[in-house]
Formats: sequence, structure tokens, C-alpha cells
Amino acid sequence: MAKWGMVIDLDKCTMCGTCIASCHIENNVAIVGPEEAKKNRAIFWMDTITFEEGEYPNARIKIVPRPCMNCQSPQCTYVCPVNATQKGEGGIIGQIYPRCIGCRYCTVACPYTVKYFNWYKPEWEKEFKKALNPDVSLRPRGVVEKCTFCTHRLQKAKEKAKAEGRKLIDGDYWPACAESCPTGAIYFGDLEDINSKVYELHRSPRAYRLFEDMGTDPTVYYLMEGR
Amino acid sequence: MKNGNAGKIISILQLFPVIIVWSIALGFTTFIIYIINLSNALEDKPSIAVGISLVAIPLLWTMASVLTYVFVGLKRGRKKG
Amino acid sequence: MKRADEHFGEDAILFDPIYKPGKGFYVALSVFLAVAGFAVYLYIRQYFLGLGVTGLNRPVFWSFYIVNFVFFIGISHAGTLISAILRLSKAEWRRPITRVAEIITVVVLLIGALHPIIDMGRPDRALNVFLYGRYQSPLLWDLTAITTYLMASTVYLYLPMIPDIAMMRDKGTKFKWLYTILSWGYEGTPAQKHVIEKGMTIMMVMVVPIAVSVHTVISYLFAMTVQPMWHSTIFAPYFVVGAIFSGTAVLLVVMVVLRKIYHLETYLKEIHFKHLGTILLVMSLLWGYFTFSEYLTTYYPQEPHEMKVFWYKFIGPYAVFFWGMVATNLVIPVLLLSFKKDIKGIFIASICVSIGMWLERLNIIVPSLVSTRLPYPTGFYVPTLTEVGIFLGGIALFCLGYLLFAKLFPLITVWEIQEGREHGIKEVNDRIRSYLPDKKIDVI
Repeated sequence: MAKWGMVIDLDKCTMCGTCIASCHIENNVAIVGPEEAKKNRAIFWMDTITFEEGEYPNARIKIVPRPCMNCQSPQCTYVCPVNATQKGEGGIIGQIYPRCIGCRYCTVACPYTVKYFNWYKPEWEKEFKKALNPDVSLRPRGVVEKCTFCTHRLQKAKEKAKAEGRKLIDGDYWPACAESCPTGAIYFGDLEDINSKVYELHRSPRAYRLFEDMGTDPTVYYLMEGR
Repeated sequence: MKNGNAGKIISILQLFPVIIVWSIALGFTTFIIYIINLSNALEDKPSIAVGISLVAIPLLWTMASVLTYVFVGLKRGRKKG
Repeated sequence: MKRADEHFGEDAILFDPIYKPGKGFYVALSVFLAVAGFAVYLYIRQYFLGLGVTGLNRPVFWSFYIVNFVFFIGISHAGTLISAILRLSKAEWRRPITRVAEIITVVVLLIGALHPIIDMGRPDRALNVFLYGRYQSPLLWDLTAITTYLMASTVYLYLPMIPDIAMMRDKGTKFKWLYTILSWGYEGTPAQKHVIEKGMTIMMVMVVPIAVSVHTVISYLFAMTVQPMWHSTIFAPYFVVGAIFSGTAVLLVVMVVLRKIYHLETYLKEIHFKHLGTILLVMSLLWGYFTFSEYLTTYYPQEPHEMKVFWYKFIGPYAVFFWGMVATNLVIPVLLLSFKKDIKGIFIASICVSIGMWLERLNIIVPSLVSTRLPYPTGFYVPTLTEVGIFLGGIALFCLGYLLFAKLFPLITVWEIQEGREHGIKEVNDRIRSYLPDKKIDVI
């Protein structure tokens, strides 16, 4: 059984934001509009975090892409009352939109605050409606959503592998952010396949995870910038 | 004749609180058993559902029984005639 | 023509609200109905539009509704817990207070239990909790505990009501059919009295641990996450103490109001307020002790994420709410209850505590949410009309429930007062005699 993970090389990341844009388009993420965004209700499955370090004149900022950490000890899953967020196959923490009752316990329990809520019914302009991805279900109002490592692509890859009569292997699928990154900073693959790139990278001395000591066991690794 | 009918209706209506508490007690029991089965079917750990049910179900049943006891006791303790 | 309540003898005034409601009743009824009706409209609007009509955002996903949820359930500890403990300890001064307290519990518990549904993004899917429920989630523990407590407090309210309902069935003139149904054929025979007493005793004993478990389980909603200043072992006893504290305060407020509007000065005497005032003082100090312990434990190790929340409360945007809470929960009540212990002082102290305990719930929930571990941009949460309106609607519903109860049943347990007159003095005499040393017995 695979354990899908992501490694983000911060040396290669230029903070261009392509991953955010492609994630939006791939996953039919709602565009909430400027007023709602001002109220802190914008939805970004893939987001960037801005870390400020030091003080002037030695201040620096570090902007880091942040998908869902896909924890293997997921706090959000522990507290969901209806099993709408659950660890699925390959260790991907999924979200069952038709079952979610919108209690927002998972959004509150997540230590990385990667979950988002649909405060109103998501709506798109006419032009955007034509570009909606048919593989990803549209969310109604009042449910929680988050990055799912483009799990719809996993389904497609599984079916393709089955049609070809073989097992799913590392490299068969990758999420939209990894595919669209112009510098190739986002690697994706099976962390349990010792021949995969992510396996090699996640064991690099540059590799770290956010809040590692909290025990959430995320499968998103970052490669420290070489100084 | 009218009094007899009214008396009957009143007796039936008097049962309502007892019916309600037993519905809650039995309803909850059914619910918890269903949840434990669901937990088993999903290969999840039902331990906490079992633990909570060991406390909640006796409590709910005891309360329903207390109300029933008072109901029956009051009917029995009426003045003769 | 004989007055309807003339049969009731010296306790006739206790039945006045039922037989002589007066104009004030209808005015109050209309006001509360209007506020509650507006709240219902606001909720329906929220149901169709979505939770966007509130002031909630990311990361403050929980705020007003959950604050009010914890607040209302906390108040519910007033009644049943105080009434049960006073009855168990055979405190004679409990007699006019018990039912007033028990009504608070039942009404406020119903309102509190509504709030998680008001807070849900998809309340039309509420049944999913029963179809796909996971008992690992503290929300299901809440469901179980609140259902059990609701049942316990309703039965515990109902059983002592039976003799009074029978009294109204026999001697009163209105709603005879209702009282006949609800009195279950009670006639005051010794066998029946014994049955009711036994039922009450069992419920008395059961209600105390159930009440403790309810607020413990509500605190687990927060304590079972890893969020800074939520993941604290002190939460369970902290919340229970806070609940008893806020419950006592609301009970005192209700008692003062009822005393005024229903002219119950001969029943709710100064001594009753003084005793409850002492309990309020003790709870205030106990609350202060828990709060001090919580904040010292947070401050000492200087853990960065927890300190972020700490400073947000101490000197940050929530400083006014935090220090307001300390003032209204600790400083003002302790001063008032130590030095100005008359009904007026107790009333002011209780109002302060009610406000302070609401602020405490706000201070627990919002700062931890705003201070996210990762550096996201966060604003300042401001509730909208929907949230405030629904909160006021909840209070109006509480007053409405109380008003309707007062219209149908006596607020003070008449038979318990009569029992106090007939048996209380002798019982207490015997009890005191049993404590004192016996006469010397010659031993051969």
C-alpha cells in the first residue's frame, strides 16, 4: 500500500504562486470575492505562509508553499463527529462533502489551519463555469474542504493502471501543484517506495516538517534552503 | 358515560411522560448499539463507544425506571374506593 | 364569588401568577415573543444563506454560537446541582429555592442544546450524527451527556411537582384537565408520599455526577485538541467550577427578579440570599484560584505559541474583555459579597458574575483560535446582528419559558414549605440533639 507524500524544495521555490493558481483551477475552488476575502474567508487549498525572521537590518522573510500536511496522526480526523474527514487509501486524508455537517470542529482542531469552510454557496462567473474540472465535485454551502493531494487524479491513475493490468506505482499520478510548478520544486510520490524521488529526498539532511514534535506525522516535507 | 370516556383519555395521556422517557432510553440504546456495530464494520476501534454506553445506558434506564416506579406507585397507592 | 385561590390557605400568594397574571405578564410575554420571533427569523435567514451572515471567518471558526452554547449549558448547573445538593444535605433553607432552580436548568438546557445545531453549516444533515456517528469525537460525548442530563433534570423537576399539581387539581379552577393528567392520581396517601420521596432520593443522587459529567464533557471539546491554551488538563474541573459559579449567579438574579415581580418577599427572605451569596463568594474565590493556576502554568515556561495567546488576552486586543472578566468575576463579587451582603449587593454581584462568566467563555474560545500556530493574517472578530440577535433570542426564550411555567405551575414548592412548617422544626431539633453529647450512662 502506498503512502503518498510531498517534498517541497525551498531552494527551488521562487514563490511565483503557480501552484496556488493551478490548484484553484484543478479543484474548482470557489472564488469568494473581494469583500469576503477581506473578511478572511478566502479559500486556498494550496497557500503560502510568510515567515518573518529576525529584525532590521537582519530581517528576512521566507515564503513557503503550504498544502494540507496530510498528517498520518490527523487531529482533524480524530474529532470529526460523522467521519466526513477520514484517512483514506494511501494515507490521504479525504473529505466527504455530502456527509459533512459543517460543525467546523476539524477546522478548529487542525494545528496548521489548513481547512477551509464554505460560508456561502460557492459561485463562479460564467467564464469560470466553463472551466470547471468535471472530475472534482463542487462543494455546497456549509461544508469544510481542504487540499486532498488531488485525490481524483489518484482515482484516474488507479483505473488506468488496472486497465493496463498492473499495479499503481510511484510516478503514476501527481497533484496539480506538483505538475504545474515551473522550477520543479514540488516533488510527489510514494514515500514507501525506496526507489522514488520523494523517498530519497525525505531522508535528506535538509528535510524537515512543520511542527514535527507535535506528533501529527505530516507527509509534507520541506527541504531547507541551503545557506 | 362521558366521565368514563374522559377518565380513559386522561389515563392514556398520563402515560405520556413514561412513554417519552422510555423512548429516549430505548432509542439511545439502539443508537449506541448501531454505532458500535458500525465501528466494528469499519474496522475502527469501538472501545470508547462501549465504554460510554456502559455508563449512559444504565443511567438512562434507571431514570426511566424511576419514573415508571413513581407512576405505578402512585396508581397503586390511591385511596381505596 | 369565592376567589379562585382562597382554598390555598396561607400560601395563596404562590398561586397568584397562575390565577391573577396581571397586565405585566402580557406585556412581558409580547416583548419576549417579539425578540424570540426576530431571532427565529434571523436563524431562518442564516439557514438559507449560509453561515456567512455571521462574523465568523478563518481562523475564528467558532465564536458566538459556541460561546453561548457553553454559557447556557453552564448556567444549567445552577438548578439541579444546587437543588440536589441542598436536598441531599437536608439544608432547611432550600425549600423556596429548589423549584426556581430546577426550572432554570430545564429551560436553559433546552436552549443550550439548540446552539450546536444553530452553529452547524448544514443543520439539514444533523441526522448524519446518528447515522455515521463516531464516538471518538467529543461532540458525541456532548450529545450523550446533555441528553442524559436533560432527562435527569426533567424527571427531577417533575417528581416534586406532583403534589403541587394535585393541589391545583383539587382546589384550583383553571386548567383542571392539565393538572389531572399531570398529577398522576396523587392523593397524598402515605404510600404515595413514600413513592415520590423514594423517586426523588434516587434522582437527587444520580443528578449530581451527571451534572458534573456534562460540563466536563463540554470542556473536553476544547481540551482534546492541541491548540495553545486549550490543551490543558485543568479544563474539566475549571469548566465545572465555572458552571456552578455562573449557575449560582443566574439563580440569584432570577430569585431577585421573581421576588420583586411576584411579591415573594415572605418566601425568598434575606437569609436565603445571604446563604447563596456565601456560596457565590466561595465559587468566585475557587474560580479565581483555577484561573490563576491556569495562567501561571501558561506563563512560566514561556512556550511561544501559548504566550501568543496569553499576551493576546493580557495586553492585546482582548485585554478589555480579559480584565473585564477578572473584574466582574473576582474583584467586584468578592468585594461586594464580603462587605455589602444585602440583597442589593448580592444582586449586583450576580449580574457582574453572569456577564463575567460569558466573557470567560469568550476569552477561552476566541484568543486561542485567532493565535494560529502558523503566521496567517488574522483580523479582529466582530459579531454580526445575526449572532447578537440569536443570543438575545436565546435569553428571551429563557424568560419566555420561565414565564409560561410560572403561568401554569407554582414557582415555589408549596408542599415542601408546608412540610417545613409541620415537620421541619422538629426534625432539625432531633438532628441537633443527636449531634450533642449524650447524658452520662453509668457503667457497671
